[in-house]
Amino acid sequence: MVGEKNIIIGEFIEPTKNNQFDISSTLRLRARSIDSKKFWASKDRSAEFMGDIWALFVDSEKEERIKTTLHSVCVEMIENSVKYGDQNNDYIIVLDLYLTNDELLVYVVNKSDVSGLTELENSARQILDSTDIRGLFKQKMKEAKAAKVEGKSKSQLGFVRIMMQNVKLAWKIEIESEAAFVTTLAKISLKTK
Amino acid sequence: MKIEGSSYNIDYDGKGTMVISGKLAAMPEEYEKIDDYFDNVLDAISKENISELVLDLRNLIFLNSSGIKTICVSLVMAADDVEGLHLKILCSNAITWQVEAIPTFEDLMDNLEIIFE
Repeated sequence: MVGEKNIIIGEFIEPTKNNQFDISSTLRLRARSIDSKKFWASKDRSAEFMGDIWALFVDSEKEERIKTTLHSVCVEMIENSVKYGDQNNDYIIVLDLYLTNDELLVYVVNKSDVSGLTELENSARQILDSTDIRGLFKQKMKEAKAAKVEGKSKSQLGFVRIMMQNVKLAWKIEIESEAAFVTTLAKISLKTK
Repeated sequence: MKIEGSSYNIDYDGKGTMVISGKLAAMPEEYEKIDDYFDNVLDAISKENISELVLDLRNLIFLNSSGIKTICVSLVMAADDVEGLHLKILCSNAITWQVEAIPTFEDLMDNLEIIFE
């Protein structure tokens, strides 16, 4: 197909390479099959459920880290999938989790409109290039305040928020002729300090 | 003045104390309402010459990034624009998002005190 290409941002690990996992789960949400209010509420419950259920499978000292971080990471990633999802098509958000050694890998696959990809790519590279994530958070807050004064809404804070929890991010964007499949990977380290 | 959401509550007592509790991960349109609510509270504080706003977040168990933005921009940074207003934020050491995010508010407002317990 014309214009097909893949873009990798950050240290992306292909899901197929995770065959050494200890536990894995997949949650699939058909975004348009339920109304947006119900979907938003179910997103919170799904994310909290992932945190609660996965906390059961790790050693006790890692329970709290999994429970709180996974809940928060899943909320941000599902919200982004909805915000940047292709609203003109019925689409399924896929949430794939793999526990390997001391790392929990969270993949969210989403179909997106190609028009929003440049913004996503720029935002992703800015976050990965930043050496001071809290500094970037403050910068985003100042930008959000300036945008509010102009009557706009701007934050792009979700990915920054994820990184502030000592979670690494990477992306794979597969572009087809008119749509793109965006896979966001969050790597939650479970190594105890 | 109060907002009762499905999983959260925001309550300003009219005398300088606001309590936000529960789990807050609202839809974008709902945050616009919360934005307006914060504007109204700060207007009232300014008109009544209240010198200190106590923001009690100790029972706000969960907050998504849009919620952090709303509280930070429309309440904390907006409070910085109210002349002479001191903001005291009460936080809980047991709640992870508060420990991770709230200390970063410190550089965004001059007259701010953050208390963890």
